[in-house]
Amino acid sequence: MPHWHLLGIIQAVIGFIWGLSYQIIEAPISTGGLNIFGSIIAFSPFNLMVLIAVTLSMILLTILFQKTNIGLALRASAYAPEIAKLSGIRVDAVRTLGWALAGAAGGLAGMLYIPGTNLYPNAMDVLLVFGFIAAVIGGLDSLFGAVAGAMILGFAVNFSASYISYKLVFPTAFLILILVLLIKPKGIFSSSKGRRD
Amino acid sequence: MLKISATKKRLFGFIILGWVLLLISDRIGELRQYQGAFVAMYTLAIASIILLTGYSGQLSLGHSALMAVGAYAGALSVNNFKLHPVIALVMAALVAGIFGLLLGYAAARLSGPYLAGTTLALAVSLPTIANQFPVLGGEQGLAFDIGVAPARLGEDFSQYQWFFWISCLSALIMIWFLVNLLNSRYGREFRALRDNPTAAQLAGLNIGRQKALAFSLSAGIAGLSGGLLVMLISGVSPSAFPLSLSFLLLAGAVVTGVYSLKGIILGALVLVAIPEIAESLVSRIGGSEGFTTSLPGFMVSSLLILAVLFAPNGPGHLLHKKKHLKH
Repeated sequence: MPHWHLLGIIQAVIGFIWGLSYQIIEAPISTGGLNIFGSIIAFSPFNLMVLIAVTLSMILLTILFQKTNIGLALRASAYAPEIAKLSGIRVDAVRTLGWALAGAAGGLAGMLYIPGTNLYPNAMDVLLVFGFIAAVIGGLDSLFGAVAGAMILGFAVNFSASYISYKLVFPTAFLILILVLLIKPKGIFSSSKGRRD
Repeated sequence: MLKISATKKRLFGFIILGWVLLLISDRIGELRQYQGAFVAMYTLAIASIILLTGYSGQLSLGHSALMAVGAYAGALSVNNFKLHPVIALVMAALVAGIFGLLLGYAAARLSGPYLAGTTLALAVSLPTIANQFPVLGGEQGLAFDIGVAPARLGEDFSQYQWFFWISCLSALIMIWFLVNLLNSRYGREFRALRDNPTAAQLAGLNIGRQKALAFSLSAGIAGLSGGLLVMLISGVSPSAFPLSLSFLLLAGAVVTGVYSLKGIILGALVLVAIPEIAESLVSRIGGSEGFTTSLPGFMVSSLLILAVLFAPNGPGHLLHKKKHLKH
């Protein structure tokens, strides 16, 4: 559990150094809607950049996980740490690498998220909650599941916010999560099986 | 020599502890009484987390939501059903327990991060549901008035002392019950489940039912502490149960050591003392707004990291080990 407390320490240190005030990071390219045949749609060049960045990083990560020895070591250490150790993988080092990869992906996600909102010590709390829920919906051992889970969650949350009430954003997320997990206890796109009784 | 069973000794110990607390309550100021009541409330909440995480091996980030269920149940039974405040606290525990049982059956099929994710979603979503129903009072929430102390306790018996009595008595009774339970067949079954689910299942335990039972018990205790919390702040609203409360309770449980109820009051004391210490530090050395607001969080988190590094099984465990070495 110590990683939860790292969150607390990092947030506090950010508060010590840069204060609690809202900061703004300008998006690198326009966030205005694209003009298509004379009508402006709710999709900006920046949104396009986000999509491209996510797709690219997913492709890169998939190649890393599926085609390289490092990826094999990572998967082996997650799936069966003791057997991985027996076959000569330095599980601790591999785990550290896993944290580093996760940190890099998280940093990218933060930079793609913040231009649409403000930056302050707790700015990522919502992202933490939704990111976790999306990953669990998709299944924690599947990259495709992460994207699909995030899409399902994003659509559901936005529909309920627009058509029912913006206050029901979190209950909708919970409802979807519990429905998915009751049917597939390890997420939709996971290959491993959960206990079912 | 007169033989006394362990159960009787324990009961005796709790009665003595209660007597000491009763004597203390007369000698301390109102602020200390109020803080003492908070310590008792946190003790209960941390006990519920230790029962769930340490004894049945399920990680919950949703205890703030379970506390909210208990708190709303308590407030509704006082306001709408005109029940006696003591019965309202019992109702808080009961309703949260039943809610936890339903949730526990779903949770029993999940493990590790999946359970953490589900309870995280519960913690952020459940309090916002209260905004949707007028009967729950929306953003403002509901008032929760436990009533003044009975007149026979005397003129100078303050409201805070009354809070202190109620909280400490609830905590004592609940913890006594919990210690007995964990030393019984159920406690052994929970530990068997935590340590080796496969072996436990081979020995004939129904894993799903045991896990749901542990979840329900834990939820009931959390509900009671939620009821006590809103009694102390005299009102219940969604903002009283943020996700950070769950993290704070987990922090308290880790400082105490999740595998044992020993030294449980230490975690609660830390949770109450840290904002105080941070405040006195800030008033002495000053600092920006960012520093002032972030300091308590920083202290809790660093204490936790230290606890995980140096006493992974809790300070109670360290003492226990030393005792063994001496003999």
